[in-house]
Amino acid sequence: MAASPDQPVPEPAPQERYGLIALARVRKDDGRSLILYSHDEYRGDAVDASEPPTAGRREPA
Amino acid sequence: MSDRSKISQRFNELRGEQVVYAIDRQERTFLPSREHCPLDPTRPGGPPTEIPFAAFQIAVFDNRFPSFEEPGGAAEVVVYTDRHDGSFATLSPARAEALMWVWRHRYEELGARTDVEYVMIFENRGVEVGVTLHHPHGQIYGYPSLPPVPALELAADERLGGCAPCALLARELDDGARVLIEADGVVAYVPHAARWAFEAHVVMREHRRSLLDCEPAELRGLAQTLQALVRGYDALFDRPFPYVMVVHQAPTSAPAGSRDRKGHLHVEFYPPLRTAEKLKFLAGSEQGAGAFISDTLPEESAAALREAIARAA
Repeated sequence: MAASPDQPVPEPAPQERYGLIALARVRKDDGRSLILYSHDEYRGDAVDASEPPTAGRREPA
Repeated sequence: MSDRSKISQRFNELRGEQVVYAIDRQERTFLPSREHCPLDPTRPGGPPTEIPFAAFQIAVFDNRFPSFEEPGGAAEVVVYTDRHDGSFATLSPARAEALMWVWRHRYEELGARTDVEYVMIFENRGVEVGVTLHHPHGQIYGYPSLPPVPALELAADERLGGCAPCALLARELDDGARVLIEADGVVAYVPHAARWAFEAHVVMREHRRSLLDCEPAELRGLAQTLQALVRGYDALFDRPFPYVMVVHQAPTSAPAGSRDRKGHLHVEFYPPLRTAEKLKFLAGSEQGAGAFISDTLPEESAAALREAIARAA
């Protein structure tokens, strides 16, 4: 995922959805993690707000 | 024998707490010029940055100068926008709401790791609190053991015989003198025993242990309330208002769905200003005795903040 200052890489397409957001995971050249998040302010077709994730939702008291 | 490993911890017996030594952080980027901001996108003809793309919305990456790193915790940077100028307060409402989902996602992922006992999302704003990069951003630490402050909050639950933030919120709403904002699902107030002159807490009305427990509408309400408060801060003295903002959530040592995961989601602000020009310093009493001495009554701070929030709305 090298970035040339003369030819910057376009933002990758989202790979996962999470509630109102979508995310794309990238590994930087030095091995560190980078996650790019997007939301429908800019990408109306990238997220689906009608299905929030179920993991970790509130359990009955 | 000295330990020159990059990150290490020692237990301070007199304080009863861990001290982290992250010696590489001495070399971290310090107030770079605007042209060399490492949190900007990588632009044509410009220097490479931490985000090797020409544009982005929100980016999270492993801190290049971490205080914790796997398998001994985590340290991440959360960049709110690819625009260099602005602040959390100036984000669009949609971006602020999206940021709540990013926080939630990071809490869930980091909290699921076996080397992370406590996930702390925070933002330091202003050189007064040690900011080294001006680009709008926050940080996340995944602590490998439970730090003192969340341990004290759990002790407060025991002392009060139930959820302490729930009890304190009820008291604040009953009193009303220090309440700043009452929104759907979220309340902001200056606490009864605030330590900082303009300290404020933003608390979920319902008992929500973490962002994972929140309904989407509550996350929206949280974003709106946080922005309203920060805009009020900026209006208070008509200047960018420095603060430390910390998201308090349940420790993650117990599984996400477990009833053993205890806490109450709230966000605390610790602003160092006590007037437009004067800073509160942690000096003799605060450092030597652990006893805060404030020269401002919380009710008077709350009145000033309410007026500023209304002015900024």
